Amino acid sequence: MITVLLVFVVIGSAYALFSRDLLHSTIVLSMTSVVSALIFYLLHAPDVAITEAAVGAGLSTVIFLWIIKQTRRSDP
Amino acid sequence: MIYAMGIISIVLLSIVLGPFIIPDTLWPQTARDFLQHNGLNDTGASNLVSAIYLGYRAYDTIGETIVLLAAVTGALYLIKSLPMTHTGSMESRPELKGKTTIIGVTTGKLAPVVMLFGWYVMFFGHLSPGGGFQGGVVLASGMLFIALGREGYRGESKLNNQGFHLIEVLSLWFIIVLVCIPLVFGASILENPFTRIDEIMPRVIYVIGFNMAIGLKVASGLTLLGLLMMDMTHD
Amino acid sequence: MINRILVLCLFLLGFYGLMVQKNMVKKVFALSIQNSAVVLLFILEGSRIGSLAPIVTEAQAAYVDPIPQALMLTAIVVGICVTALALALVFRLYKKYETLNIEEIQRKAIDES
Repeated sequence: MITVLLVFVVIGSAYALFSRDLLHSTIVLSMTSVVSALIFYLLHAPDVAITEAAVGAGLSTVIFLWIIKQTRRSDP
Repeated sequence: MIYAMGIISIVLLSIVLGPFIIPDTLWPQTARDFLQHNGLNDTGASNLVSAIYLGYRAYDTIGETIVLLAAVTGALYLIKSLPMTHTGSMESRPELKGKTTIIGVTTGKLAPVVMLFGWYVMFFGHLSPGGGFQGGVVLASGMLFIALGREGYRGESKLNNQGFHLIEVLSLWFIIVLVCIPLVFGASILENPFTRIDEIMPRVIYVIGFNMAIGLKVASGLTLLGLLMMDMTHD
Repeated sequence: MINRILVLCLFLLGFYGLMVQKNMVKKVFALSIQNSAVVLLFILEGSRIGSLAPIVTEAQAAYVDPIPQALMLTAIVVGICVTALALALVFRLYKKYETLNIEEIQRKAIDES
């Protein structure tokens, strides 16, 4: 179960790094944070799960969306 | 060229890190046994993770608070001195007014629930999963909901952020006071003073106070960062 | 053991992205991915010795090791601070040179001096 979720995280991170549209990268990175929080819950670590969900899917996504709005959205 | 260097460095790094990570070694159990037996009596917190970062290793927590303060101050200074690109006020796009009213009502009504949850996570961090950092981040998300809701109603309404600066500075002073209070009772600094004088107050008062101070500090710092990035601050 | 190999792959992916990508925002993405990989490794290793969350209750089973969890709380918050400050610097560079490509910035900076 944890192996399958880790494969999701790796695939999501690879897509986020090699895609040409930065907005898609941000949304997929937020998805990997939520899947990561689920992995932490399955490993009996509820404190880390709350922190990772709130930080990864909340603040980090807001900060990345701000920089995409102020600069460019597409990669080249 | 740079792709070849990238592949070579990946291979070399995996050769270096492989023997540390891949083999099955035993994880030591001494620390877990010690904390399972003595964690509640030494610090007064049932949540053992809170007992560690508020009781046994409280110095790391103060260091992390200072790192958060430095990051927020640095980002504030770097961003404030240049004008940001605006996309125009809401009055110039009247066709979007309907949608933004819906967003305003939804986030405005949802924000108190999120803030209540954040305060609960912060206050009961010593009994159930949660604590200062978690509650602070959830509280900051709730306050950013209010900011999002405001932008939908009127065009250029901004939030006054003097209050957040005040809360941040006051909670830093509160943390310093909490660090030095055990000296009054005869314990060393950062140690829970009520474990020695068990009759006057319950032991959890110190842990709850520390949790609230850290939560308020984290919440106000991250709210300032979020408000600055949404361009909703007075100058 | 396959879990640890996957986490090592995640760390190496972040490192490769940091070296090879020319867009500065993608480099900051890669830093965040590396942070995530380290946190996953610690929590994975610490959860092997027990089967309950580390909250003192009346149960008699062994708890999971609480020390890596406390360290990783600090690591996550420091990671987001690094991301915020790095993106503020990227913003300043964009305002000065009008591009996010790091090779063009290098060329323009050498031309200026």
